[in-house]
Amino acid sequence: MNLDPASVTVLAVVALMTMLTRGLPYLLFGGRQIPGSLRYLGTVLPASIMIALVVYCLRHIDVTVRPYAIPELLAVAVVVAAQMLKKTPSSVCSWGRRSIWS
Amino acid sequence: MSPFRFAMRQIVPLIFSYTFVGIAFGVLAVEAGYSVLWTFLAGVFIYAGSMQIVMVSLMASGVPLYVIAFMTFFINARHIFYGIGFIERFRSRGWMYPYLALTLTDETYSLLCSIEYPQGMDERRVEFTIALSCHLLWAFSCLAGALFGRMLPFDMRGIEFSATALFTAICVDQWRRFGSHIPAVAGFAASIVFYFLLGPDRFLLPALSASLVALLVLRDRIAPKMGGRPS
Repeated sequence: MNLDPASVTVLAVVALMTMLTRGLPYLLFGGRQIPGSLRYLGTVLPASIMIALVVYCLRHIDVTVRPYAIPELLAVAVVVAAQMLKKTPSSVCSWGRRSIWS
Repeated sequence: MSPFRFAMRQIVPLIFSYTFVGIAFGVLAVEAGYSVLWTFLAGVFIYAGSMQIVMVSLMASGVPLYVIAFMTFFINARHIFYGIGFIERFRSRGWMYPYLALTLTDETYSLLCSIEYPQGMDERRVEFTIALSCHLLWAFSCLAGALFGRMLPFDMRGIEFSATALFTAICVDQWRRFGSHIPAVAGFAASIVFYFLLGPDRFLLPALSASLVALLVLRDRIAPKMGGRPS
């Protein structure tokens, strides 16, 4: 269980830079009145980001080579179908929803 | 239902991806020669799966520290976009504020975006419970991978799809709930355009930036339709 200076330094740098990316919005805007445009973005950006994230997760698929990305695309289709089949449009993990509403 | 139980229910979709990717990182780090303690601390302080994994290769290739710093910033820059929507919300959480802000990962971001709280649920407790449990789950998965990973008998190919599945499910949800589909379409269009222009490894930040600009430009078209949406 040893820690050498070199690997600890890299860990610290990566950790700090990651914290910076997470903390930047709050550092810039956290101390004051949030502009209306930022508040608006907060409501609509997630939709764009989520789609971009799906594309990002699938970015390495290759439709030109066997198996032509069929497994990934099929899996995505199954997820979409399963989510659509849930009667109430609601949060992702609400299979037990009815019981908690009562 | 107690806030704790509700929080645990919300976390279910990401348990598999966190556990297995965490273990994968643990195995990777130890195989590369790093100590179990270092691996655990990486999980605790970095708390970013893709970054941790890339870090191990960067260290092996001997790039200078400033390059690692630079690359970390850009690989994780998407988190800046996540924070935008949560400034007000987290700011009001008092002492939990920094912790909530610094533990927003791809998955916890998507969960918090799509949560619908039942009447009377203590939102602060739920958010904090989600943040803390996911963080612990991740850190201990890295630790478990470092300690025991090599003993695992089964083939974990495809496990990373669990994150894809989570994001996809949320996209479907958002499509149904949002008054305007323009944000989703803009995100998709921007992703596709930049994917073909810049390739799979460089498209994300430009796509997110372009979406942001498009959303601002089209605000007058989108905002009215978004009116009654729960946030």
